[in-house]
Amino acid sequence: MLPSPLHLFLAAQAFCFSNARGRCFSPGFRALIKWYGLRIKAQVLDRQRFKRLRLGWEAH
Amino acid sequence: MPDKLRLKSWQTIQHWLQPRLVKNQVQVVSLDIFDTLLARMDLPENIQRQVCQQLAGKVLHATTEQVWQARQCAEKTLRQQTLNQGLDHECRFSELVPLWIKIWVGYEDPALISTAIELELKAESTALYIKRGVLDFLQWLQGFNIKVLAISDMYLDGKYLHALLDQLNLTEYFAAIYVSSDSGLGKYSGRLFQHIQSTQELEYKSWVHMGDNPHSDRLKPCELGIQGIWLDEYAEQRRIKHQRINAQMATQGGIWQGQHFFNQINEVLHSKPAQKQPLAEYFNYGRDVLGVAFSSFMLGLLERLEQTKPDCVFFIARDGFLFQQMLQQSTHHYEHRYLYLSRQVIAAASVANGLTLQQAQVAFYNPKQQGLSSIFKVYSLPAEMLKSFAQQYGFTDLTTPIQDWNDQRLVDWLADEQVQAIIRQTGLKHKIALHEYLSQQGFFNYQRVAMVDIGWNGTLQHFLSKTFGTDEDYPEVLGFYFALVPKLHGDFYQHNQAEGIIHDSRRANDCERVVAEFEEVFEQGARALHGSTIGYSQSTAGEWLPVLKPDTAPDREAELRANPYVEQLQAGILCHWQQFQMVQQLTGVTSSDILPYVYGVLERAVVYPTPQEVQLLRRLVHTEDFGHDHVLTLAERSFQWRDVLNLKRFWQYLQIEAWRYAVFSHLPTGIANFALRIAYLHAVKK
Repeated sequence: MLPSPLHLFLAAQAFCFSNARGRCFSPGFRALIKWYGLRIKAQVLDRQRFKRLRLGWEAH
Repeated sequence: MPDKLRLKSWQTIQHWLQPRLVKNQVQVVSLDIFDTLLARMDLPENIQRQVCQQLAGKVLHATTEQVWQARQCAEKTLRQQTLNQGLDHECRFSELVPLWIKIWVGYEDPALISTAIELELKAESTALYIKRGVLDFLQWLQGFNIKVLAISDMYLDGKYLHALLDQLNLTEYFAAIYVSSDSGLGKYSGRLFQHIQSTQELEYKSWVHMGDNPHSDRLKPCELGIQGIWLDEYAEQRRIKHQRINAQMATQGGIWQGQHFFNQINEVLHSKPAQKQPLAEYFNYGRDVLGVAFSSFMLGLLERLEQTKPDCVFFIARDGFLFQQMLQQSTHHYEHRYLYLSRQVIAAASVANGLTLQQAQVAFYNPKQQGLSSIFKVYSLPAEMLKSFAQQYGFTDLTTPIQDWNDQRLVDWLADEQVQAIIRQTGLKHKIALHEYLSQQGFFNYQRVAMVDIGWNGTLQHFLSKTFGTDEDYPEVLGFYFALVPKLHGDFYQHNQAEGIIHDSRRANDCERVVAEFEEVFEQGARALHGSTIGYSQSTAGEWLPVLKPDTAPDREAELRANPYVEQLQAGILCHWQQFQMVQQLTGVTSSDILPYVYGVLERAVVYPTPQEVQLLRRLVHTEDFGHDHVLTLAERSFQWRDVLNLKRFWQYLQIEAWRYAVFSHLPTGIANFALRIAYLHAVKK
């Protein structure tokens, strides 16, 4: 039910395309990129994950 | 050495254990506690830092960083000492705190020591929750004649950990609880298992241990001959990873703090088994959508009450009902009352000095207004007595809408002294009854009172002030509204204290406006189940009692049909509020920290609803308490392709539809709603 930052960023663009004031719920483009960066980093460079994969493989 | 097992869920563990338990091959089952049985809604470091922050607040000129550094230093010293004694790298909380306080303030302050222990335990108990599937597993284990142990590598003493598990009603499942801090021996060295084996005289081969750490919970027990099981839950790994990223992003400000905060709440709320009772979808909507809005409002309200310190908080019927429930369920103690008021009874009393043109026009704000008939209903005026005068000024049909709000017939009718005399006489009767009721509720006994209501025009505060404002005993009234759009009453709110906490049109922030785009759902979510107040009557004992709209009125009948849905919505909201308060106390966030994200949640719910949500809310009805007995149906129709043929008519329909964005909810992608949002933001009159 909670909207993701990407969803909020997209929804906030409606305020950009209109003459409305206040884009307070937009996460901001840079922060959004940083958020994705952290997620990718956590996925790719996760030492714990490699360790778990190794230990999982050892178990077999 | 037993096989090093890696199982991915409680169900697979159960499946693996079942035949072995039946054959009595397993006599002892031990479980790790943290991240296996229990999860934390925040990172342990953040919880400890929050404790340091709260502790720093107790000492003049102390900073969180100082307290944190002192703690780190004490922990390092103690761990080194235990290591030097030939034990494992462990530290005990009851020894840590005195040293921590000594390093920080220079001596062992008993008051600070007990405060630190109290704060840490409170923070831990708030942050911990039982993971999904755990209770079912423990209950299943209870069905076998085996010994179940809980084992943890943890800095808290056994007695504190026991108390924490007790709060979660988990102790009954365990024969004993072992903690590394008590013995100075950890699971990661295998020595804690040896210690337990000698204490309990257990056999390694009939012992199964399980936990989330492949080293401490699988490798080390297996080396001793215990069957170690590594519980490797993908969802749990993902949860911890996201929690870490959210915590890191929360330092960015904007929506991120709110995002982290509400994710923490959601984590706990969704760890509980899903509701299976009828109308659970309303409970879920209340918990996940309305709960976010109303809990944030309540936090803002409590902050303002703390600043303004009113003598009494009056919750106004009917939408103040839920807010009063929420205040009662909080740790804040304010004198509070529930007032049976409605716009109808206050409007009726406000004409004790006569009816002005401006007041008469208030009746025309309803899109379904019926001219003079609406004026009679809004101000509870005797239609029969005034009818003949109306006919004299050219009103043939009293129910014909008056489109020109300055209609000359209306002006002349109001200027008639006989008309005004009847209005004054009726108004005075209502004013006396209202005054008696308010006096009985103690309204005039206070110097400063707060009025809490959902909004939107602040009509009650306006009419109350207009009716009794010049009386000597009229208190200073502070109006706190969920949303305030004070357009109806001229410049009244420039001179009177009133604030919309979630939305205040005077702040000119278009993001906030989203609550006004579908105000009916918030009113329905907050309203009491009783009918609206239509007057007051005096009992034989002399007590003034509210007279409520009869259940036979057409709009009340519709309300009664919708009451079960409203009840479920409110149960969900209160469930969210309970968790909201716990996380708020743990993290110390303020309403301004989380509001940007709350607007995002509301934008999603109002502008981009799912078809299922529209289906749910369609069953609610909206009624007015302003003398009308109309029923406003919500999200009555959906967009059809033939609407393209008459775009002008369709646009007119969208402008009067209470929830215009629901019209497109069945179309995929949300692009139609996005386009409508842009169009409406262009068109809306600010």
